[in-house]
Amino acid sequence: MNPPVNHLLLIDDSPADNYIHRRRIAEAALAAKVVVKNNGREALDYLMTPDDTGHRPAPELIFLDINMPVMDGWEFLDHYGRLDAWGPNEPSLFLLTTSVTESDKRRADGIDGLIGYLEKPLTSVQIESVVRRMNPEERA
Amino acid sequence: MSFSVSASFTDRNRRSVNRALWVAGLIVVGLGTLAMINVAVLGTARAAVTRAVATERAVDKLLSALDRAAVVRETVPPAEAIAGLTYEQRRAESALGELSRLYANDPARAATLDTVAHLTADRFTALAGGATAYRSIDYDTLNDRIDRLLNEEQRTVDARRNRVRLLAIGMGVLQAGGFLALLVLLYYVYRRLLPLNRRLAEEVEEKDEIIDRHESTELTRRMMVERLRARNQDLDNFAYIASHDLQEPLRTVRSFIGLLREDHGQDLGGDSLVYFQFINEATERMQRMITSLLRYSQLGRSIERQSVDLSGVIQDVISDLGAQIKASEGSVTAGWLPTIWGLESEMRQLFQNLISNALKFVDPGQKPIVVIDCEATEEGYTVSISDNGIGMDEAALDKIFNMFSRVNKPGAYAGYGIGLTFCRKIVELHGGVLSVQSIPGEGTTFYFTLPFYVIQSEPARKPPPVN
Repeated sequence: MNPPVNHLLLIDDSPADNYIHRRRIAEAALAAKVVVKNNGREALDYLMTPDDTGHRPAPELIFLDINMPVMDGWEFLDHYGRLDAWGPNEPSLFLLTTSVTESDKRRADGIDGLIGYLEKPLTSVQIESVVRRMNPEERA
Repeated sequence: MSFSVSASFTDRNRRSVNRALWVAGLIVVGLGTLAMINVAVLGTARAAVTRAVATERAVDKLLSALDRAAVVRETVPPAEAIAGLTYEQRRAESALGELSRLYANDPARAATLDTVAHLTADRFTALAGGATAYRSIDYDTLNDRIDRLLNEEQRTVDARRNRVRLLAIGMGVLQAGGFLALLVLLYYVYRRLLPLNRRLAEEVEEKDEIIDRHESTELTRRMMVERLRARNQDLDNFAYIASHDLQEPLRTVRSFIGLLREDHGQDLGGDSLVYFQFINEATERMQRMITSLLRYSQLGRSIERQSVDLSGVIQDVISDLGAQIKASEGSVTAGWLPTIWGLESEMRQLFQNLISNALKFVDPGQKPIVVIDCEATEEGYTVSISDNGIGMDEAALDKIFNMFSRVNKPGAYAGYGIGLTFCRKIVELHGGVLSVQSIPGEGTTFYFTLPFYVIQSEPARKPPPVN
């Protein structure tokens, strides 16, 4: 069975979290390819740079952590919003959080392109909900 | 601010000063009256003198008319004498007319005047040569009557003058006495006021010193309050940061313990699954404690205050706890509660915690009865939540508000013991104090105060109790 997602971008600086999340994603067979970037800056560079095929990377799914050095999640979202339109292939963006506070929720609501937030650590249940929400019906 | 100079001292002085001022007032009124009497009397005296002068003039005129008539009669030939006599008679009659006007209201004098008028008329008739009964003796009588008029008038004037003089002397004495008395009184009042004034000045100085002392104490207190407030803020921030940062490594530990168990739990054998169980429970407990600490530190932060109807909040809580109430066959009754200016979600947590506890901590098989009441006090309101549960002894009462403390055997009643610390902080956020009274075996009552400045509504009428 084909994984629902071809390309998943994981933006997080914590090796422990990345290990666990990669494992859970693999167990759920969520994505064929998982790319990990350690902060917002690296992630942006990655997304802006054409790869060997001459196209820019187009992950369908992005998991974004908030607390990262150099450029954190919020700042990344600022720049991400200003990138050229993705067209029909706009990635589904999920926020990874340690604990959801009221202020975080409010901030998240105001951002286009953000589908939702996930509380660490990722569980299989959460991954299932991600798959559901990626469906076009959910997104509308 | 009242001046507490010894009451009797002030009263005594005040009374004597009042009395003195009353007397002075009367004296002034008296002097005024005397002055008015003076003026009136002088007025009548002057009138008398005016009349006397007029009388003299009229009498002179009469006498001169009579004298000149006699001279005319003796020196002028009879043929021309008539004109002169007539002229003098006219003058005499005019004088008599004046006199009669002057004595219009004087019946005694009028009689004398009448005689004078008759005799004068006779005299002129005689001088004109007419036949009359006028004799020389009548001439004396005439003069006598005229003198009498003058003398009586003089006597009247003199009497009046004497009276006035006496009155003036008397009044002068009285007025002098009055002024003297006034001076004495003023001096008396002054003497009375002087020590009072001095005392007051001393008291004012004392009070000023006290005020200064109070102000500096107040300043110190305010500074301390500010420092405490800043400290509390620091502690809250610290608790927030600590608990927030503690969560991450704990989460990592739990995740990898989980992975370890998944990958190698079967391989390890023995009691390793049991070990994993213990580890899991402990880390879970730790997770919850950190979350509680985090939420505690965030209580009441940066949230707008609003009107909160406490009766409504209790309604909602009772409805939310419906299942628990039904399962324990308990009852929750609430009286009227005010509307306050505060944090709605926090007040909900407060009542949820307290009511849920009251329902929970009962003897097995007993039906919990929870009563919520509200009483007005001098400083605001006191809300009470009482139950008929297992109660607590003194040792327990000391500890229940401590974070994470538990006073019952583990497992006897479910819970993590954080609720009452939250409740206390929520009450403090609204300016109140949370306290408890309990009798082991009989029940517990929690009280919290609400200061008047958070109260928004007063009871128009007490609504019926809510069950």
